[in-house]
Amino acid sequence: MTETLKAGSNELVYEAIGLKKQFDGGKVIALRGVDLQIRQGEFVAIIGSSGCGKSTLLQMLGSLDKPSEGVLNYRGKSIPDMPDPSDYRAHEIGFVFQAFHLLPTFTVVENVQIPMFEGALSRSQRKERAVELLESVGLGHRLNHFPSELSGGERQRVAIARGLANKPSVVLADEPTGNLDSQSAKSIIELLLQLHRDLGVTLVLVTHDLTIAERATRTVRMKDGLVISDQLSIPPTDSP
Amino acid sequence: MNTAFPHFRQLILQMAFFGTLVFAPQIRAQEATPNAKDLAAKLSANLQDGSALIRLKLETTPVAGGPKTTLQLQVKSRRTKAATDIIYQVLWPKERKGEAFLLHKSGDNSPTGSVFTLPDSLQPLSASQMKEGIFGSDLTYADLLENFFSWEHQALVGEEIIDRVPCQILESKPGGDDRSIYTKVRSWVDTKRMIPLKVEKYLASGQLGRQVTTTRVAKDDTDRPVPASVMVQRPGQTSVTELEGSNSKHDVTFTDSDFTAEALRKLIPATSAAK
Amino acid sequence: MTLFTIVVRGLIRRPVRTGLTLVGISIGIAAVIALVGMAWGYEKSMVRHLDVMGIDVVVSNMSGGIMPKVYDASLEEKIGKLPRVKESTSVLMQMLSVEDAPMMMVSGREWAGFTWSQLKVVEGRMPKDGSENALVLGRLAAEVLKKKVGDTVQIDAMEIPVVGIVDGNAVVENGAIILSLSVMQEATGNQGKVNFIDLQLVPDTTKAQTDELCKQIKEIFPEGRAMVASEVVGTSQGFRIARAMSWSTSLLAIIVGVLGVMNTMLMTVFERTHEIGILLAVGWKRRRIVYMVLWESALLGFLGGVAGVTLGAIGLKILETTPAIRGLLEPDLGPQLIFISVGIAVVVGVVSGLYPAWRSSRLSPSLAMNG
Repeated sequence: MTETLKAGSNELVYEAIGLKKQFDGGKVIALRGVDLQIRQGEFVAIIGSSGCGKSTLLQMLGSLDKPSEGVLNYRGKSIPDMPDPSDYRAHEIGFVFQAFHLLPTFTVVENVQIPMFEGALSRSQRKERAVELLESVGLGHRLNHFPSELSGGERQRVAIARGLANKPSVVLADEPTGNLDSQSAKSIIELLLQLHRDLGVTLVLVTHDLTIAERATRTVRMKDGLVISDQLSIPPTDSP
Repeated sequence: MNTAFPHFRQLILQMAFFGTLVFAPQIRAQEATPNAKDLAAKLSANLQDGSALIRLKLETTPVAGGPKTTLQLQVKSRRTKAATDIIYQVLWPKERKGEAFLLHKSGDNSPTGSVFTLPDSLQPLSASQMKEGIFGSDLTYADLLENFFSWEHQALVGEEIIDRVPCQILESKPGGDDRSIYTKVRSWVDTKRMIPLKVEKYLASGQLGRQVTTTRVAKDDTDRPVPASVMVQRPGQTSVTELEGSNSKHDVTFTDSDFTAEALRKLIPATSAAK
Repeated sequence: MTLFTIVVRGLIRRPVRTGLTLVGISIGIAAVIALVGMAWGYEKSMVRHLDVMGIDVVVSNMSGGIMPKVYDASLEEKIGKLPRVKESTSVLMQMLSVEDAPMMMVSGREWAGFTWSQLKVVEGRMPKDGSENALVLGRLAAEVLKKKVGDTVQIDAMEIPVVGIVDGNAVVENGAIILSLSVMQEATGNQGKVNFIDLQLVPDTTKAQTDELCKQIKEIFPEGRAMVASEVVGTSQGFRIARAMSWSTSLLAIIVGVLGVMNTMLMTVFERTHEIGILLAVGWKRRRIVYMVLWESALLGFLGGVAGVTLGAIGLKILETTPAIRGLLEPDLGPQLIFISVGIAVVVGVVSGLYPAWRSSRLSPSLAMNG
């Protein structure tokens, strides 16, 4: 907790300078020049109404899309210029999506193992780690179920476990509670907070839900492709 | 287990067949256009191939369908510039074995002939019978004897490609002492192999009387390409006749007694003829 | 879980499509098995027979017409005495139009020569001796001529009773009329003449010795030609044509197979765009995606190949036992052909997976996931 308060002094994880993104040859402008710094161990909530460019920004942080203009660095290295961003995606970050994006033909425990193919673990180690991760998100009893047999909240837990598969230092979550009822949403947020606290991962979360943003250490507000406010906050739930 | 030899022989046969069927037509030389008279003389000389013993299958098929008549024939012939003698004898089927006819023509004399029918009837052929088909086929006695390449008038009237082989069209017309029911014969001659690939014979009315098409060319025992199988058609008639040669033997010794009417009475197997 | 699990899962999730593609490939491979198996079988059976007999030489005069010209039978005596010749036998063989049948092989063989020993009597008996006026028919020849034991066959002017129907264990033999040399000579008026001399050589005769023998034969019989059977087998036109035809037909079948697999894999890739996007997003290298698609199509090819080999083998067995074909074909379905066919199927799978794999690796993860 004290560490998160001192977040500003920690190592710079992401640095965006004048980040722009256009689609359809300039007809749609998603980002108009975003400047942003995110440091190790922060829990940053990016909020704004839909279409403000927050998801686009997150995709760029995750190297899933390239900026049209501007600088975007991860620990001093330019993300768009990475020769093979798959290493970055596999080992540095974990993704959690609104629509879960689990593979329907694979069981829960298999889905969690998918990213580990890019790691150095043996077959049995992969399985072992997947089981561990699933137990830690409370799904130890669902290992061999298929995603379609799970509730939305459970699916998102699987997705979070998958996101942590290769021990990333950053978790990028795109509206992780957007498809969930309020009860499930609450428990997913608790889970993410717990990860942030216990594992020390940097958590960047995109949402339009202000109650979630209140739990973050820092809130970045976006509108029309620009950052309009950026403030540190003290998460109230940190002291139970 | 020894099947190697027959296989091997089959191969040799296959090669020979492919040789004649596949490659022969493609060997063509663009020689200078031959002179009609020379060409006719060469073809005529080729016909006068001395004594020969030939095995033929004669098949007459009704155009409208129905059973075809098949005869296995033994042919003895002696063709020289001066005279032509031919004997056709039926070898098979058994019921007709022994049926035979003899044809003779020397110089410019009218052809003569005799027919032997079973069980034992020997009749001379009249001039009008000469125009009838042999053994009920589409080929007449006269057709067998007639050498239109020796007719007086020969002319080259064009060129045409038949079965991928360029042919000269030789037109022969009787004149002087030449006697024929035809007034004009056109032959499509493969000048490389010196064989006609198609012959059309026209009647006095100007109508096509007979068309003879070469359906297979093979080398005979003297290594000369010959029309081994031919098809005889008569426009407007009800049947088609095919002749398929299977075997030939040249330079056979015949005596004059082999070509007498009496010789028709007995079927002399090839055995005694080939010495 | 391994990459293989993922590959297999990819195929299982669309059982009907995978099944149909498998049917497509397997038909192609079955065609390869059936056609090439027959061509090889034909060739192999000959080579096998040659092996049994050692190196063989056939002496004939190839200059005249379809059938070699006849020559004096006394030549055999001289040639038979040459060094390295173990046994010799003369044959007078002609292609004759017999009765109302098309041209067929009539083979007069020296009585008691080694070429008689391979014939198995199916019905009736063999001629009693070399002078009996009798002939035997190959099974096919009997069918073509519609003759039974007890009928007669007319060779030229001579009527010869059929005393037996034989199986010569080879198509050519079964289509032939076989009789003793002296009867054949009499029927065709070729007394004292033959047109083939078959030689069986002493075992372990070297190529140089065979060449020397051929030279000596040439001296005795200048217009003749001595041919070493084993050398003709591989290079003969008939074989080359049979081989080329079976392979070109197979090639067509294979192309159809390639298109089938390619279509399936393309469909798979398009359908799984979303999934591939997820794999990319969780950090999969593009190379791994390519491997996944290629392994999948290779597996599809392999399974199709195995099914095709099975199908082809069944087909060949059925063909072999069909009454009309029995005895005519000796298909060769050895491990080599099976190995090659399955190999072809796998290559087909991999080749047809190349384009889909390339396509899949070009996907942009964010578009793929949203799409």
